[in-house]
Amino acid sequence: MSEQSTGREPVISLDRVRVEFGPVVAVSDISFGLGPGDLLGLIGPNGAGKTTLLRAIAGIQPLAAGSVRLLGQDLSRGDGQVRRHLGFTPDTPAFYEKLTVREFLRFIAIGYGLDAAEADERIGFWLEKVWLAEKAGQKIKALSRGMRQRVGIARTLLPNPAVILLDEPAAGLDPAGRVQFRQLLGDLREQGKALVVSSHILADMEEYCTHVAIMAEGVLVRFGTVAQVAARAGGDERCRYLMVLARSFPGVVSVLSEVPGVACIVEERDQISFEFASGREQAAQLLAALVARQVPVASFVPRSPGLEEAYLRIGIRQVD
Amino acid sequence: MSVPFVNAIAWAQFRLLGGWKNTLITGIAYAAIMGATMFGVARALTMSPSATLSYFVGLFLGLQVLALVMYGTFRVSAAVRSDVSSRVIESHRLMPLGSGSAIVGYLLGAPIQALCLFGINVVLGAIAASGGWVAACVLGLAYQREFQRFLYFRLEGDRQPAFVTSYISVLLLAALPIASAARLADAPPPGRRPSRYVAWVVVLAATAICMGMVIVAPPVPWTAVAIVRTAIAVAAFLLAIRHLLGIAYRARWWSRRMVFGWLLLTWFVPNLIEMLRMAPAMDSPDQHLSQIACCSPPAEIFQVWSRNPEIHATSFSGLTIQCAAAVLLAGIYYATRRRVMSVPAPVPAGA
Repeated sequence: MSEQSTGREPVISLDRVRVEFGPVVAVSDISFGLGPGDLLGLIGPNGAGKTTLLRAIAGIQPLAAGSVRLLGQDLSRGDGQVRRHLGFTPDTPAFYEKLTVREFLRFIAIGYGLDAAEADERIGFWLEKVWLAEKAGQKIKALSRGMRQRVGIARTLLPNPAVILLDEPAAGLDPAGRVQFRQLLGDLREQGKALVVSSHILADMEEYCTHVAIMAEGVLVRFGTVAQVAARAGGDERCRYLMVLARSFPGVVSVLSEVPGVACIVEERDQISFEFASGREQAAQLLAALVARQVPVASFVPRSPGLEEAYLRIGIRQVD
Repeated sequence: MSVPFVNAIAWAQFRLLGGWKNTLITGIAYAAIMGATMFGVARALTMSPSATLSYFVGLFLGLQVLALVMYGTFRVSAAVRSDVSSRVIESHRLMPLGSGSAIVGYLLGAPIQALCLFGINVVLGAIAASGGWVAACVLGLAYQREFQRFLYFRLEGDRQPAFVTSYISVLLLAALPIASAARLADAPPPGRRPSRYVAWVVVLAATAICMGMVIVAPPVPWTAVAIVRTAIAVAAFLLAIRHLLGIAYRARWWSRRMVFGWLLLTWFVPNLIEMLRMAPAMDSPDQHLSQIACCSPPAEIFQVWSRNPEIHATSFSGLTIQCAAAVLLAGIYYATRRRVMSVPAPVPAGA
């Protein structure tokens, strides 16, 4: 795919990034750029290459070709100091299990060259922010998965990076934790951070992402704002309609299927959804035809496609 | 608590090993036990404490080898492997740390207890090497001769330089396997090449050993006998270790423990026996190593290149035992070799 950009001066930009594992191409020539305050949601089936792409951006996975530029500097050729502006939380963050939460974060602070006073201040701040202040003195091995995920997020945010990569950050978080996490992402965006978040929870992504990238088999198949991706997946000519019946009407599916252009009919009790031409004139004609056949239509509305629907409509095959 | 280390990895490893509390408890306990043993033996034996303590130099050298080469190496390689398998090492790679800092972190942090024991051994070894003056001062024993010797700092024989150079050599040699293990941590990020730490350590160790030989041993004529005996001792040792490792691999034993046991048996035990044997005759001017000590390769080489090589130029018992041990291990290795099943030649169809 050609270079994609969110329109702002990029904080981080990928130029034809390619990752190979022997003969397997895990990530194929991906290019995009993110500006400050952009939040890119990375979605795709298992094995699409999302984690590999994030690891490649973070510099953990060597590139077969291409480059990643952070704040204008090539990550693969820099002296390593530019890395301090990039934070990465893997899907299962690794820790020194025998250390306490505070000790582990202090280790990170020393690694990033923070002095003791600043380190203590930041550790306290982020422990409050990820709701782990009470667990600061507890050993990491005693924490639940969700709490470990929070420690991982605190570890990433502690050095105050300009670009934040989060791989499945909401996995393991309880419902309240997810709400708080969404608030945290909003705060980070307001601070001007560029974020890339990989997740399978599309409803959440739709809510907090400014941009979405859909990956399949190592290739970026869609990139844009949520609205752009959803609209493009839906197409300009067709959309999905939701029809609610006033009462049960046996044979409504057969009536609909007889109408030319109606497809993908799904019946759930007194609600039927289907695809049809998106034009208002065609919709009016369809409604008139249904009423003429005495279908008790109580409501008939076109639905704008969401991210989940857009993703499903792209027709990406699940990797076995 | 303020941050005690600048290096994050060293700090983390230090904390993982229990921090100051564990390190101090271990160090104090070790120093107390070894110090009490050393001064107790020096006081209990009838011979001069100076002579008794001088034998502790060898003991501490042996303990240095154990502490650094065995325990220290084990700790570093275990720390690196643990970080690699748990993927914590990826966290290190995200930090703005150079590969050199990471290596230094592992070398300083993971073997902190070994380094602590090393420091204590250096102090105790220095006390032992300096003669009996410390014993005289600490225990209140009036050994005027030793005290005067200390005041004039007249080196007796080659004890002090031997002590210093041995420590340097052992320290650098210990760094060799440690550096080798630590290379695991130095998977080069894109665009970088790993440094050749091992090569540097080899060069440094070889330089130190050569300097040590020059300082310790006055010019000794390079006789053919001395060279051949040295070559035989080294070859027998390498042959023995090679077959020992082969046996350990085949039997799925712990190769590290096997080598440790072998070194204990062939390097430490003969010299311990020799030390006990020579204890009553410490002040005799005609001191030389017997063939018991020469069963160990270092003692044999030391004796060959000592100032009186003619003393044992015609005695080959120790060297013979070394060769016999190597042959024995080789014999065991080849005798227990898995026999290859003979496969009958394929018979042509229709034959």
